[in-house]
Amino acid sequence: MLIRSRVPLPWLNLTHDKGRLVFRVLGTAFAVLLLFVELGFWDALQEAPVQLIKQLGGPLVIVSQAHYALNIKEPFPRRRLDQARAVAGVKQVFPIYLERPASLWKDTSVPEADRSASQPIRVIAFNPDQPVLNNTEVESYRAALKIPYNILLDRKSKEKIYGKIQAGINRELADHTVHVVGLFTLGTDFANDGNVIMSAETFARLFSEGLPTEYVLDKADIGVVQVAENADVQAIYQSLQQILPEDVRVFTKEEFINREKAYWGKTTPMGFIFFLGMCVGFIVGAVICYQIISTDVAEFLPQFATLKAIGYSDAFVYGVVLREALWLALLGFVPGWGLSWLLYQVLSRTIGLPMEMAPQSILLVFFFTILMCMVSGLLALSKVRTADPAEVFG
Amino acid sequence: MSTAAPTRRMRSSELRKGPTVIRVEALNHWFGDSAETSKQVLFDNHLDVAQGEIVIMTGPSGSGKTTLLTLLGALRTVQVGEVEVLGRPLHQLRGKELVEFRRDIGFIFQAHNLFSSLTALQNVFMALELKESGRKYLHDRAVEVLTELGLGARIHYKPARLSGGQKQRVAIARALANRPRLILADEPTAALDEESGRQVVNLLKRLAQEEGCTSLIVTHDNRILDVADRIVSMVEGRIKSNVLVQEEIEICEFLKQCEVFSHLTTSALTSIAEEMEQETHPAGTVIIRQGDEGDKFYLIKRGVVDVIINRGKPEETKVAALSKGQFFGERALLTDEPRNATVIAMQEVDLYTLDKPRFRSAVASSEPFRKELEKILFQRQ
Repeated sequence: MLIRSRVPLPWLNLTHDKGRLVFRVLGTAFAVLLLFVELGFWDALQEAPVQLIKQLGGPLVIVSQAHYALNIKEPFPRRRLDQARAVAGVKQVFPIYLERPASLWKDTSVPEADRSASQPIRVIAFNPDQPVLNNTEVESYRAALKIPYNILLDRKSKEKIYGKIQAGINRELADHTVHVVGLFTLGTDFANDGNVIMSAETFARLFSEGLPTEYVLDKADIGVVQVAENADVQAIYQSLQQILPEDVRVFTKEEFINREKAYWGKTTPMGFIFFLGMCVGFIVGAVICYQIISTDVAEFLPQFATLKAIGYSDAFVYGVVLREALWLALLGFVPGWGLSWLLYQVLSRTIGLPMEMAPQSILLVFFFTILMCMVSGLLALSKVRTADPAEVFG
Repeated sequence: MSTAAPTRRMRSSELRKGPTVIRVEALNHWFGDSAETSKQVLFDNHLDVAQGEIVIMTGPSGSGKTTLLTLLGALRTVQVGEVEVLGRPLHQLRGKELVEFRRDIGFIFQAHNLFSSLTALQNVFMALELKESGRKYLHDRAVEVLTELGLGARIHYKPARLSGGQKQRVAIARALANRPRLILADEPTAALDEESGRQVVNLLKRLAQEEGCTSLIVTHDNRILDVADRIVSMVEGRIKSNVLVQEEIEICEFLKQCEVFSHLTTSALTSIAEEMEQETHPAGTVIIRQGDEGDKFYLIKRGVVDVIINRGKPEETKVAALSKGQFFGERALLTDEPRNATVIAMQEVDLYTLDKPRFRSAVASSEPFRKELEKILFQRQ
């Protein structure tokens, strides 16, 4: 049975009218753009909070048993890190201290009368002598950070909220004057509009609330485990799990990243909204494609009936429609991809979210674009079925 | 379903041309799905078409001619009756077999139904590819058939850049590309000017003469009636008349030469000619026998018959020899008396016949005819 023909009928049906082709391609490209943007937001929602985890200077992390998301403070006793240090193969264990609600940033460059309310900014604190973060920029300020009240400011922090982001300025943080000695790059997420790095020493002074500073530093938020060279990370991971008490948990960096992503992508309302956005993008895209395909089918219905009348099988005619849908997907995907790439650049600059086009996202959107057009094609087949060869006469 | 087909209206086509390519027996067809809503559109139709014939089907819209055409083209499934086309029993074929059968037929539709996205050449390819796949063959044959239709210079044009006539010719090229042995056409000239229409029918005629290609054309276009070998006229789902045009013209010529018909108007002659059937008898056949009841009127197309009257004497008396253009058998029909003579074929004879009711109604409807017959009867007495 003849299924394909030498004449590229599906391609020609789609492209013969150049004016309409432009609209068709743009329509599909728009659907592709929708998919990319929604997926991009969803990805960014999950990707942004894990930027910090990605920069951690060790393959394993220790957090409180109660910990479930980075932006929720669940500290654990620092003793646990000493216990972890005892495990064979563990090179070093570093505590990280985080604070957000209490770390209110005040833009003192603005006169008090015009100043808006102080805004919380995430504080990441550790011992500057320890390679807690894989961040050469941060490392370069090691000496400066050791001086109390010196801080680093994330250059991606939002100027709208915190005022001018630059080095060399003095600002008020948690009712203390701090000095911005330099900038580093981490990025914002849906919970944090800015980041500050400081020494554990400064952290203790800022957030001691009258208690002895040692008391503040007795509870860590994240423990970063560095292992010896050539050590078996998996074995250390298992030993840590066995040795450490129930009040803490050990994760590999990857597990910790995935847990954080799952929290944002699946548990938060925003995750659901963006996921829904992707579904809506898909449906809107399918409707656009269906309009295009079904218009063509309606236009060529007598021709399809004629093909049936002269001896082409139904399967051949269905194939023509589905292959046209496939071409539409391919033609729409390429410019849609390009436009999305541009939009990603703009969005990541303006809102500071990591809008990245990972190969798997491209593949995913490509797959959904094909699926979208195939679904439209299949829906349009019901119309083709009505192309009665007997109706061609008379 | 009656197997005894009424042969009256079918002058046997075997007399004229090649083998039968279309045979329709007791064909009935209904539209509608349920018993209550279904409507019968074809009633007990019979039709034989020989190879190389050009058949024109006429009739008011809704008379069922297009339905008949779609049944012949395997575009619908036969419900009741038998349809044999190009030797394939369509009433026994289902689904895929019907689809494949369609590839052997050249369809010409009223609307050209060309893909606006394809060039003339590519539109023709779409038909050619059903049969062949060689790139060179496809190209050469498509160019050939388009050139034959006067479109050689426009093979790379898309329909938007072709005139109505040119588009229809591309559609015809598509129908003819696979050299079908049967062409089914629905108003092929409706969208064409007179000259283009003429070109199309001349092409069909040439195909019939040179390649024995049979054409069945549904049309209201009187301008092309002259190419028809047979005109089938349908009314309300029934084939009302089915005449071989050439034969009818021949009969009319004959009738005009016969004294008895010489005063008839052309339309009266035509209507009598339409009613006539043809019979062939070998030499020595007794065509009518003295004393039998009269049932037919005879006109000699070819050959010689002897009229013999037995007047009670031992030897029979030959009273006349009749030949081409002469007639016999009218008296018993007019007078309701038994045959007054025996007629024997002296060589193979072809006869045109008119049965008694039709003869009587012809006489009744035509005053000059009745007078002529009476006059001749009087003279013969």
